[in-house]
Amino acid sequence: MKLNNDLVLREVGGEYMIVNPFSDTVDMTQVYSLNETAAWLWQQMEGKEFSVADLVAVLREEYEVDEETATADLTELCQQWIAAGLAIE
Amino acid sequence: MLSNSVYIPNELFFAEVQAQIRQGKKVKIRVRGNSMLPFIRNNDEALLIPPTPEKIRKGTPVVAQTDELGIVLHRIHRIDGNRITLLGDGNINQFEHTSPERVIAVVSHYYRGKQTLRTDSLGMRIVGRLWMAAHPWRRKVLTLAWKVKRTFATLWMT
Repeated sequence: MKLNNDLVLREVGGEYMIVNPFSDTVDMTQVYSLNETAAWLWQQMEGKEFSVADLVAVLREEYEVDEETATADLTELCQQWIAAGLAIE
Repeated sequence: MLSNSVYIPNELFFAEVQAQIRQGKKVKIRVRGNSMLPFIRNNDEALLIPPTPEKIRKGTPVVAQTDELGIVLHRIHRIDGNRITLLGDGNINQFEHTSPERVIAVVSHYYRGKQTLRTDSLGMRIVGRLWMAAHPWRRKVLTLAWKVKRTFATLWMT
């Protein structure tokens, strides 16, 4: 999968938000916030094709987390991103 | 790890709105709260445009950083030099104050379902001005309107 190219991650005051800034009328009736870990993962995957396994690998390089827990959490995260249109399969 | 707009802090949300508006873009937002009743209901959508000086005038709904309530979407009630007084259409005595440089955006359209209302149309400006003039009696006007509506609904049913 890959991140939706029309979207960018914004950081203001330690909070992270996904927006689509590329149209003349910016639709902010439905926007998404990411926590710090999800925002960090987003930054790692910008412009790349990636899988759940890739996310698990970069997460485990940075954080002490067992593979099973990371895989479960990141599978759910990817499902959320795809359902919300933040990532494309 | 992902949450929807409900959890986005107002300040963060409007910082992004302001960044987009400063680039000359229009921004569509979902309105929260009922302080702009009867014109805007909770969950209606509003189209925001850059706050050019000629658009900042009495009767115009704007999004602004205020002294009293943080960021609000309310109508300009009066302008005294650099001091702008705002009042929600559904409010009686809760005024807020701001200045031209703290006006983030002007509301150009409202959307409710398939209905679109242009705020600077002649009709909306007249209705808006009448509503502002009715300010001290708003509650009575709303109560009367509700009673008339209920009476007609009852007559229609019988």
